[in-house]
Amino acid sequence: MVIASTLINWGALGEAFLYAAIFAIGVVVVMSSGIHLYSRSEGRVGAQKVVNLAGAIVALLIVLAVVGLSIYELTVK
Amino acid sequence: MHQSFMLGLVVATALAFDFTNGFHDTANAMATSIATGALKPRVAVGLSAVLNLVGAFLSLAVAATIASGIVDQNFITLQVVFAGLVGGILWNVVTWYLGIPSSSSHALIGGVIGAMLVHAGGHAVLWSGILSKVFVPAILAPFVAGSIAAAATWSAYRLTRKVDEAVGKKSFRWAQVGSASLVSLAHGTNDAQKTMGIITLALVANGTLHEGASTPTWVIIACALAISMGTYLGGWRIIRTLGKGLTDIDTPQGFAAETSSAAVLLASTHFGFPLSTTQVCTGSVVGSGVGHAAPVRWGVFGRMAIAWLFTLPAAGLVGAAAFAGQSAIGGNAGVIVLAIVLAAACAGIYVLSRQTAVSPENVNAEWTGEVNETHLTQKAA
Repeated sequence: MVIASTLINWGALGEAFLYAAIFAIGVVVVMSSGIHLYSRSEGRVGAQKVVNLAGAIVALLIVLAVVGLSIYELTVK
Repeated sequence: MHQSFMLGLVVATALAFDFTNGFHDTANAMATSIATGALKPRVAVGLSAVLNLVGAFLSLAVAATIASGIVDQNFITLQVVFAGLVGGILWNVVTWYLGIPSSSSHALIGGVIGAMLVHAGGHAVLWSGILSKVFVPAILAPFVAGSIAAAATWSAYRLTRKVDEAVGKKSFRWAQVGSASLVSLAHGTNDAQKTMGIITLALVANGTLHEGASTPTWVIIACALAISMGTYLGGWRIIRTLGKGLTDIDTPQGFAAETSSAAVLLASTHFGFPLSTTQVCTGSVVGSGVGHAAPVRWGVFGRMAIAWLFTLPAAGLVGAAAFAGQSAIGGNAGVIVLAIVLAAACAGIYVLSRQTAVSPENVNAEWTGEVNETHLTQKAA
């Protein structure tokens, strides 16, 4: 246990775990919500269709932005 | 003359290792996309190959030497690096034959440690570095990735439970293409850099480059091409185990697993924890099964875990034997004999693998318990 605590920076590890969890679950939740909204837009007309489609597009743009940031992170590390 | 010959052989063997690293790790990014049908097998490995090629050029920072913090750099010679590469390549080829995803980096580290133990003894090996850089991350990686993937998978199914099945499947397929591409890109950046580091180390050890010199452009191009060609070859046996052997994967699971893998790899790199891509991706696939309450074949996962435990000592034994063998013969003859033995062993395993060939045509055949099932020779419909 003493060896483990001197060799591993558990605080930084916890931080890495937290960021990874927020990134992964966040992206999946946003993308799934977008798919849900896209599905709801089908078979609807007028304002409801536009609102649902707009929501789906926003979700997709958020995911693309996160992916873009990730690629940037890869290049500067 | 001997030194120049040795350098050429080390560079060629390092590129061969990079090639095996490519086909060994294609599964990490593409196994779930192939299993769910999001991408056709040949398209998947082609896309992965291109992204590995691009990834290798993305970060042009000086590649960190893979042995840094593992062995005393002052004792490293071209012979040690060569024997270490032999250990790494053989372990990669054997585990590919068995269809087991295992860490190429750990195999290479094991090979170098084995060779170093014979060359300079135990004092040249930094044991605390092995514990903190290899063993602890190997234990943590599958649990960290698996728990995140389980939560992400559960969220995906929960949020899309009212979505029409066909719409959901089609949408998640596209999402999977994106998430798998990100993992491929990350793999190209990470793993090609490791071989660049090995070749740079060899060039410095030979006096061709001065210490602290940046990686030459030809090394970057050669490593990028080697890893992408290996990726395009497609390690179908490992793709099959990861995509079909661990659990039955549907598109939301595949998307959640790949996104979790990408997130864990990015975060661990950012915070300086060297997690194995293979162990992270395997953990994510298992987590996606747990998150969907799908049956996980724990026996298959157990076999992988055992292989992970044996990676370092097994590659180390080969590395040690390789170093001892080439030293006993001595000179150019020693390294030539070792190179011939390595080539013959790889060719033998390849010929053996043809008896139960796994190809793009049968990679998605129903899982029956073993990657070496003879029925796989008959192409799946």
